[in-house]
Amino acid sequence: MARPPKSTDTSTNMPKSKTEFDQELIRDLAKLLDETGLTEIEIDQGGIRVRVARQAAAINVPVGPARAAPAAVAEAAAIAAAADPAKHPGAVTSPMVGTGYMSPEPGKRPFVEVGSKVRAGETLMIIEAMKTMNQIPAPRAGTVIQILIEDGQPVEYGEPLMIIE
Amino acid sequence: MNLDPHIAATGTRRIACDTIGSTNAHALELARAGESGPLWVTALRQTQGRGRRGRVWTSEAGNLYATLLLTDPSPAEQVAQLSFVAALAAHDAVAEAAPQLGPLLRLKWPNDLLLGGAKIGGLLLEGEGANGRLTIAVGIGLNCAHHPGDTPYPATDLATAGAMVTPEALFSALSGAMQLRLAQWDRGAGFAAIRAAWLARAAHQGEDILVRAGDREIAGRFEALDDIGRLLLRRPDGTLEPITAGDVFPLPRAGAAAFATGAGR
Repeated sequence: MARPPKSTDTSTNMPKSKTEFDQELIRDLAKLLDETGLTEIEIDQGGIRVRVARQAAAINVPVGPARAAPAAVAEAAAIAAAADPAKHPGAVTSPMVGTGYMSPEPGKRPFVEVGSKVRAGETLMIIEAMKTMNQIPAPRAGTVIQILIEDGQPVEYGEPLMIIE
Repeated sequence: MNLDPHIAATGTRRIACDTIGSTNAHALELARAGESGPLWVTALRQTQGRGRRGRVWTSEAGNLYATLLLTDPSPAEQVAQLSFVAALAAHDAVAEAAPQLGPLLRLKWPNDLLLGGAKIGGLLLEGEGANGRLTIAVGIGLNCAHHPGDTPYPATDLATAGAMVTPEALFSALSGAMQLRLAQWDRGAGFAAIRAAWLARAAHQGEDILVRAGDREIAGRFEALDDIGRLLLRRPDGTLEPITAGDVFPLPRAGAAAFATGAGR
C-alpha cells in the first residue's frame, strides 16, 4: 500500500540513457503481471535489474488507518457540496475500529438503503472487530439520505457511516 | 445444572435450556425484554447455532453451547477485546477439565481454540447498542463429544482426543475461568495482560498465513497483535497491515514462496 499509485515503476541500476534499456522487456513484464495476477516482478539480467510493480486494486481486505475508503468518502463529499460528512448533523459515526457490513450475512438484503425510513434503534449495519459483531443502531428516526461506506470496508473510530435526516 | 458457587456469589445467573435456536440469539432477546447481564444462557443443543457471517455451528447434544450476556462491559471502542478475554477463558476451562491436553491447546486469531492444530472450540460475540446501553452476547461452543467433518479448518473434540468431559463439567470450569479473565481485563484497563496471555498461547505467530475476508485473500507473516487486538500482517512488500476481520489459515512453507510476490486474489 506504500507504493505510489502509478501503474508501473522501474528502479535501480538502470543505465543513464533511456534509450539503453529494453522497453520491450518492461512491456513484456507488465503483461506478465496482468496474466499472472502478481503485484511485482523483479529480474536481474546482464547486470541490469528491472522491477515492475503495481498497486493491486483487487486487494481490499479490511485493514487499518491508511485505507479509509478515499473513493467513497470523496464521492460523498462531492455530493454534500464539499462539506465534511463527519460534521453533518445527521451523521452516524463509527463507535469502533472494524469492518463494516451492510447486510446481516453475505448474500442477504442490506439492513438499509438510501431512502430507507428507519426507527430509532433500528439496525443500520454491523461492524466486525476481532469476531465481535456489533449492530449499529439508528440514533434517531429518519430517512437514510447517504451511505458513506461500502460493504466489507474498514472503518475507523469516529468515521461517518451514514447520514440520516 | 449449577453455576460454580463462587460465580453465583458474584450475582451472575444462569438459564439452562434443553433445545433452543441459538444461545446468543436467546440471550439478546432476553436483553431486549429488559434482562441485564451477567447472565449465562446454556443449551443441550441448538437448532440454529451460528458462526461468523451466517455460518452454521453444528450443535447436536453432547457438546457445550453457552452464552454469557454482559451489559455495558466496557466503552464501545474496547468491547471487541472481549474476544480475547473469552478465548482465554475457553482455553483455561479446557485445560482445567482435561489437564493432560493443556500443552496441546493454542488460540487462533482472534478466538478459535485449537487442540493439536484442529479446532475444538469457537466463539462468536454479538453486540447491540440501544438506549445508551451496550449489550453483548459472548457465545462459546466447545466440542466435548462431537465435531463436524466438513469444515474449512480441521476440527476435533475432547472425546476423540481421549478426554471424557461432560458439557456440564466444562461449563462449570468455563464460568469460573471467565470470571477470572474478566477481572483481569478490568473493563479494558487490563488489556495489556490479556493480550500478552493470548500471545503466549497463539497459533501461527511468526508464520506465513492466509487471511480470508469475504471473497478476498491476503497473505503475509503473522507478526503480532497491535494494542487493540488487530492482527499485524507483514506483507511481502514489507508493509505492515492491521487486520480487523477475517479467517486465518496457515500457509505451508512451500506455498509461502509462491506468495512472495503474489497478491492473493
